[in-house]
Amino acid sequence: MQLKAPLSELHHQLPGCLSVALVDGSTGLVVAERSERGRGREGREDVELAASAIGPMLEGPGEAVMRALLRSGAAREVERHMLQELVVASDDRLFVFMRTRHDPDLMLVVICHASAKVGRVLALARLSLEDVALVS
Amino acid sequence: MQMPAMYAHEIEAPRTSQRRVTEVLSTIDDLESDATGELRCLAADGVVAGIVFIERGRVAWAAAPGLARRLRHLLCEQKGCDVDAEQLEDIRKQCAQTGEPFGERLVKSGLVTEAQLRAALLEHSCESLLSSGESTTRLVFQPRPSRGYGATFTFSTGELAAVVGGLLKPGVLVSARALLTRLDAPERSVVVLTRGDGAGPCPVASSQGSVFSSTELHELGTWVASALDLSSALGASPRIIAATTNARAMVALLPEGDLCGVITAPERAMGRVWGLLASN
Repeated sequence: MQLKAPLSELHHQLPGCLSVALVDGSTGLVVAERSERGRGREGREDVELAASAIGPMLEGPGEAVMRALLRSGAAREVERHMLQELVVASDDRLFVFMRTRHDPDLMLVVICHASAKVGRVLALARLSLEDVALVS
Repeated sequence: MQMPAMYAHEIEAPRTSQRRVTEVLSTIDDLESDATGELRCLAADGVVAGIVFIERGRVAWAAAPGLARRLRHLLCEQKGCDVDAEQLEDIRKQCAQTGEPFGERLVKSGLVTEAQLRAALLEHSCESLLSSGESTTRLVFQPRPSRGYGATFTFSTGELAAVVGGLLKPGVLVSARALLTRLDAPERSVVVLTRGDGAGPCPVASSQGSVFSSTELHELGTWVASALDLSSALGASPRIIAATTNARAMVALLPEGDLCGVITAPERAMGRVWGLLASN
């Protein structure tokens, strides 16, 4: 139940936010979810779809690509390459996926209208990630 | 400097020209990063179908029978370049006497600019790779002393792969170059890929001095294909996909018709990339 609080707060702060959820990227399971009033079932379906699609995409472009980025100076040295955040903008939706720091499989998912400002969504989602980490 | 051992690689037949070129480029990627020498492309009967000269792991030039004079034509055809065949021949004779690389001498003479020479060398090497690729069945690397080619006039295998892709897909070249021009900027590396035509994404244009090798471009293309497929599973065609990594780098994909622009940049450049993509 505690998880609902930071999710609800993020949902409230973001204009155009449709759903906010915490999902397990490794299994595709939805751990907690908060959707816009009046679209509970639809929101739940959106989140479940996003949770099931995200796993393979988070594997990222692979070690060879990261080596090229490190070589070029576009990336810093890391022990293990891992995608941290993923943003997918489609014609009518903006999807943001963020790994939590304490458990890389656990992901914050934010689904907004396409008109939402990406920078604002990312900034607020990053802030709430700390709160989610405290209670999850 | 320790020279790499002689290296031989068999190519299975039959293969398309592009697959053969990809194998040549992958073989170069597998050499030591400071390898200098000749990669000989041999036909089934042992005849040399082409030679690629590698300088410190980068391609200085490729040559194929029948294309020896093609570089001069390409130089004379460069936009804004008024060099003629006689002037080129004079430079070639001077270089034969002094041992100075032809390209460097040409630029010093003021007859061509760095950009004009680079474009001509790149196209000539790619045409040679495609020509020799048709009959190549075996690759043999022979270490040679450095010829002093500077990094400005040598190419990553990724740059060559993109130009070869463009030569093989002329129908998309104009729109690919337009997309590249729109997305390219300092701090970014941009590659334009064609989207699935059965053989997976194929690079057709890239930023000058692309950070990627041919092998890395192939891996990037595989991820791009899967990211586009999975994004489509979210319910609509994706307009933009952007990912940041724990190495503080970002990769952004911009699908556009049959093409997909791929931008890689440090994470600090992400805001500007988002602004650019959102305005499209």
